[in-house]
Amino acid sequence: MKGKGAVYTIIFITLISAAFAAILAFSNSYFKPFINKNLEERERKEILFVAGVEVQEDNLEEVFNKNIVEENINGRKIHVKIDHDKKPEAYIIQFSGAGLWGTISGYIGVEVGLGRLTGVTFTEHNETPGLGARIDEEWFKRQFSSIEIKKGKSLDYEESGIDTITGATSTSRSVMKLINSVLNDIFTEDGIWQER
Amino acid sequence: MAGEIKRVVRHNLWKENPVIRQILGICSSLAVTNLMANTLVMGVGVIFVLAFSSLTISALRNFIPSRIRMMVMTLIIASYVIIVDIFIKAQYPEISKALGPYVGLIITNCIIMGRAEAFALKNKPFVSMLDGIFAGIGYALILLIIAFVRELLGFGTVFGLSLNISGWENWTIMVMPPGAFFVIAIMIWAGANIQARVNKKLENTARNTAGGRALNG
Repeated sequence: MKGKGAVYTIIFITLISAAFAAILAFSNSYFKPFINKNLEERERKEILFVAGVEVQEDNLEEVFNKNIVEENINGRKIHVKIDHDKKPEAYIIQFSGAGLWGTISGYIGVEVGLGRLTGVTFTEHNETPGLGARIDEEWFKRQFSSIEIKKGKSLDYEESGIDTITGATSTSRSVMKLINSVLNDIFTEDGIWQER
Repeated sequence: MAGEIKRVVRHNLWKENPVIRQILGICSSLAVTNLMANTLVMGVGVIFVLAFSSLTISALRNFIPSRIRMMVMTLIIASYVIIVDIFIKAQYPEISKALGPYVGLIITNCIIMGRAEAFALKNKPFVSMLDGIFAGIGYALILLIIAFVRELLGFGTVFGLSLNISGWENWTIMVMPPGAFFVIAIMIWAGANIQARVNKKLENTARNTAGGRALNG
């Protein structure tokens, strides 16, 4: 604790930084595979939720592989929900865009005929806890399943009978804007999406 | 040594309890106390960080140049917090999501820097580690009590187990941040009140014995 010279100080801080950086690097590389597995499982759960498939903790992988395939549609990597005869039922499309405080990302499910949504979920957001963050709550997300969509007409809360979140006007608005921008993209390329 | 340990335990659990006596770590006390399971994980995380940061800082106390001691302490604390964060992310992803940024914010929890400055820099490693552990337990216990009240009234559950009280209506406000303000305020009030009574009693006995001695003399 005595006053030490500048050279000692510099050497000390360099050594101790290196030591702790090494410890952190080691624990990070050790735990990385577990964290990645958790992230992947969460991602799969969200995709199944959007597709409207019920899933339990223990059969996640089996259910996922039976119901979901990955496809490349017009340069986008898309998850497709298939039925028992492996016929595509719904597209599950990842989206990401501006919310109130930060980026909101998630998935939106659209039936193959482009007539209805199958569901919406959010995988990442920085909305206000207790207000905008309530987009994570199940009652809010469930409202989007079986909502009718139509080319050339944007979705809106009032007409579709979807409740917004009280006190989170901006977040609710951003969510609808994100959904509409995905739908707009799909409908402008609707030939590609409908032909399968 | 034994007396020192006793002092450390008593001070951290009650006399200088970080939350209700020193009013430190209030931010996380408000944020992570609506479910007991989350609170427990947070408490264990803080105990771990406090124990090891106090141990490390105390072991290095004769080598840390005093001019840069804050930087070094932050570095040590941050490293342990990141390890805890990575561990929770890997082993308890659901709880990690529920705790959100608060695990990372243990770095800025004043209790840890406070124990390092007030205790670890002046004491031997073993006692410092004990001091860290008991400061952490003092913090975790208070948080668990707050979480118990909030979860019970807000969800009607204890550690996620439903109590099934018929006719029970959940108090939504207990789950929201204002609920924590009420509970913490009541606990701080109760703590200060009990301590004031104890002090008064001590004062009285001291005066009586002093008076007795005077009569005898």
